[in-house]
Amino acid sequence: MPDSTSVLQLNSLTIQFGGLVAVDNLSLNVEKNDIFGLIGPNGAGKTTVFNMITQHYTPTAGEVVFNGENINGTRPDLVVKKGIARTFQNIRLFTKLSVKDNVLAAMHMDLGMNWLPAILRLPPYPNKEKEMSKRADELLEKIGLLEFSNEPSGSLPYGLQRRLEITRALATNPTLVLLDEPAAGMNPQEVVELTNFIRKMRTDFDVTVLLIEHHMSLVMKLCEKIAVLNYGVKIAEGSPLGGGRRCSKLIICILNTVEFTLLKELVLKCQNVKL
Amino acid sequence: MTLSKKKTRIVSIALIALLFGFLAIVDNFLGSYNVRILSLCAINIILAIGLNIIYGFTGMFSLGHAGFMAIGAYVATLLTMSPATKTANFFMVPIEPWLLNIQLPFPVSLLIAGFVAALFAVLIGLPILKLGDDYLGIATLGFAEIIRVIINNLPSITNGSMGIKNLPDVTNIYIIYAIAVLTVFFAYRLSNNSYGRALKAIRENEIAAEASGINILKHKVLAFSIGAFFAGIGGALLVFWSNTIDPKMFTLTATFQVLTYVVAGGLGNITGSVVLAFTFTFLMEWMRFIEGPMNLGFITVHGVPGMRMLLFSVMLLVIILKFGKGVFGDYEFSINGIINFFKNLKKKSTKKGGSKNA
Repeated sequence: MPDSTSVLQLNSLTIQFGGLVAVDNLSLNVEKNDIFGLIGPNGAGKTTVFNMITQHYTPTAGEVVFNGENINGTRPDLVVKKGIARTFQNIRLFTKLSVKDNVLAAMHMDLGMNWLPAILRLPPYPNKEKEMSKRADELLEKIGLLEFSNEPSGSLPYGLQRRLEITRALATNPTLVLLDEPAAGMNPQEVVELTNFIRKMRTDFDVTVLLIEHHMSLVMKLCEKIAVLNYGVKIAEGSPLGGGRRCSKLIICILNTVEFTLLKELVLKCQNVKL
Repeated sequence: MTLSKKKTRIVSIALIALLFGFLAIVDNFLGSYNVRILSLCAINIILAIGLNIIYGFTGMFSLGHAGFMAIGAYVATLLTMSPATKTANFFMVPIEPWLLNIQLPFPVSLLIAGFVAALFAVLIGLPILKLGDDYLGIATLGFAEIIRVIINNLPSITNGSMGIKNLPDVTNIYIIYAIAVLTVFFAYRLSNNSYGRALKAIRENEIAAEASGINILKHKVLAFSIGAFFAGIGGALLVFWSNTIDPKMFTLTATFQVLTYVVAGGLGNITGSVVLAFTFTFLMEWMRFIEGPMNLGFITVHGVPGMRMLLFSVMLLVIILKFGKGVFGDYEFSINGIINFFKNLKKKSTKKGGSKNA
């Protein structure tokens, strides 16, 4: 039975590409307002899990339960409407469109008007357009991108492009945000900024966050729960700040994956845990 | 500084009035040759805008424009012609009896022509618009060829390869320009609209657009059929403009001509499509003198037929090399833009006087 506070439940999710089992019997439970980290070596199937949650891939077996509803087989754009928004590993912005238009495009699904009256600007279109524009400005101001609203989004510096992608995801009014390697390619300073940003985003927008990340410093600081994926199999799950189960396996796995320098940090944190 | 919405609207209406005043002058004083060329310019503008909505706005590389033009052209022709002219044209194979007696007023049949073209766009769009870039180009190219071959082989409906002559004289320069103005207006509205943004989002990044809640297939089919609608209207106007219809008018060359205007003007740029369709059509006619014999003083050149095509392709090369994003790039014509441009010029010339206005 789904927990009352459970936002996302994956029930023995499996996907096969030909003979390859990319994700094998994965079960997860993400609770409301969690920041949940999904880690593992390259090719472990983390992004595939995201693609199954957003229904870009159809799982071979198992189900994705979102807010108590099985969303298997829903069209990807309707999944967004239900409240799951995502960002991508390699930034995917509408590069030639302005920053504001990027956000407005994500609000298009809420327009709720047929194309012809909308294009001819029949009422209530002008009001709706004004409303959307106001909402976009508010959102951009909150994130701190308002000063760039008329710049083409492709001309923004890398860190801000990442931030804009998250903003665009937030523009769809999600309850669950999937972040695919939000800190990829960032320097330590930017990673710290991003950590604070994601934390602030959770409270400001009342969202649940599921993120994939290789920067262990970010994961350790940010996530309340972590699941480790290796060759499509979940090998560990727990919290990074002690009390985590099967921490030893976690360390072994992370040995294979991420920066060795950060390993020390992890070991220190796990010291309190009985291995 | 920018004008208020009301003032902008007044200026736009004044500009359109000016355009029609100019057309009246051309119509009354400059002879039928110029009138015909100017009309052709406007028809090409309509066709270019149609393709720009498909390729420029939404990023669907379609080579099927000639197919939609053909559909619109034949539908409008068969619905507008009188039974007498139909019988006179179909002397080899008689026309289908149910088609013979249909005769509708021109505006109605023109609209139907557009809608039939759009309907075909929906029907073929649903299966093929999932294809990406080049594959879509090939599929749409195939569609256009299929349409042309079918037309060639349906003598009881289309009169086959003999075409149809003596089309009724129902258009004039005013009607054509009115439709062109409406087309441009529609494209402009679409461009600055939530739907337009969705289309451009799909062009920029389809996966991200889908992840932003945009229904890809619906919007692609929408843009494809709107473009086909204008192609149908443009094709119909084209055959009424030339008074004959012939399957050879709708080969790949026709598509490429329109594609040239769109690409050279700048993908997704309405100003570019309009200006380039106009100038290219005009230049193609004007450059005819190159093909005539010329006396250069020291040497007399005999005319070389096709010479203007050569020059034309050189021009195209220069445009593509010089302006990678088309002549107009991202610049769109707007009344406020023009006003600001002159304001800035003024400021530059009176810079010594210091800044009067902040």
